[in-house]
Amino acid sequence: MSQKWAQRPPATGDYERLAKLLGSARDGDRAALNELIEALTPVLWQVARSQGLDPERSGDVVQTTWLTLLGSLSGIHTPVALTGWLITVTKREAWRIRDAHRTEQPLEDDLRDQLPDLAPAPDDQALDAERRARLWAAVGKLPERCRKLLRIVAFVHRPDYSEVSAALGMPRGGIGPTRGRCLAQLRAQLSADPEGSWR
Amino acid sequence: MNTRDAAEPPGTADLLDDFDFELLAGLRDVWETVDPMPPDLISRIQFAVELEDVDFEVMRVREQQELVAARGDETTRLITFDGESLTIMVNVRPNKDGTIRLDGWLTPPASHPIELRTSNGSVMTTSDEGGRFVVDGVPHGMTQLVVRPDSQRKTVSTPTISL
Repeated sequence: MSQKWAQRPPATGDYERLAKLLGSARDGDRAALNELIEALTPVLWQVARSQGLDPERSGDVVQTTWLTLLGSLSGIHTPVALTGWLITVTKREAWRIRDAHRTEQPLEDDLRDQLPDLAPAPDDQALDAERRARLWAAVGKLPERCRKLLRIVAFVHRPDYSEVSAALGMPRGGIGPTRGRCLAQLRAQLSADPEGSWR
Repeated sequence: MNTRDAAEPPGTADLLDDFDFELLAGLRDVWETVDPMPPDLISRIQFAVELEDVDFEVMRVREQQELVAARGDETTRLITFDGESLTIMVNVRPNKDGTIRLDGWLTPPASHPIELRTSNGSVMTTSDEGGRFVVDGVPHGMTQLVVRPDSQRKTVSTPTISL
């Protein structure tokens, strides 16, 4: 098992780091802002893509969100609020673009079969590639609601979940139990995999 | 419903076990593989926020069209940016020397100072009364257009685009 798949560092460390960066960015520190952009753009990309926008427009939406933040940064005081604000604005921007371009393909159909097209992994990554394929297959068997939730949650620091619930239009606090149920379903799918244990 | 989970205060990780964390990391890896961010997205955003102005109007890309020029041996791009106060259309044409020529039109037409930010620094120009402006010899790479109409009106900026 590669290091990459190992458990991530405790969320509180991330939280404190983000809080510090946010404070510095509010005071005009561009290096801190750049670090926030690195830390939080990946989840915003997934949010934009899960709204059904193509990659080019998703990139535009995420960039617009960060540019818009500059005018609002002074009123945002916690990483939780920041993540919630960014996800909310990304969704709003994505809807705005989607409404203007009604011809977009539904995303799920686009992505479902993409994994086999990926470039072959070098030998030392072969195990990862196989586990990834099995995980992706298991994800495909989950209800859409779980796929959408896990897609976002996998990119978010845990303390931000309550704000993310609101941004995703779920009851505040609803994300924890739902996430638990979706992870349990995923585990059930993986344990039913005839190729044996995924871990 | 578990009330402890519902609050989700910072640092509460006790309801997920190691396997759950491994799955979440695996899920992140899967989505990054299946649907990767454009490799230059973060640097484009970081370039865009270097702007000195804090309070400005953010333009959106309305559309990008690839056009084949009359001779058929070169492709130009027509990009339209929409803002609340104005629209910018930019025709992007490659020069033989490897640089780029930008022909722009502001609507409503007016003479405004315009800054073209590139990774090699900024070029300043001014649109004519008809709203037209030209910047030639632009290097390939990241570009952002900033229009500063006058002291009464907000600065307007496009997002960073890769040319």
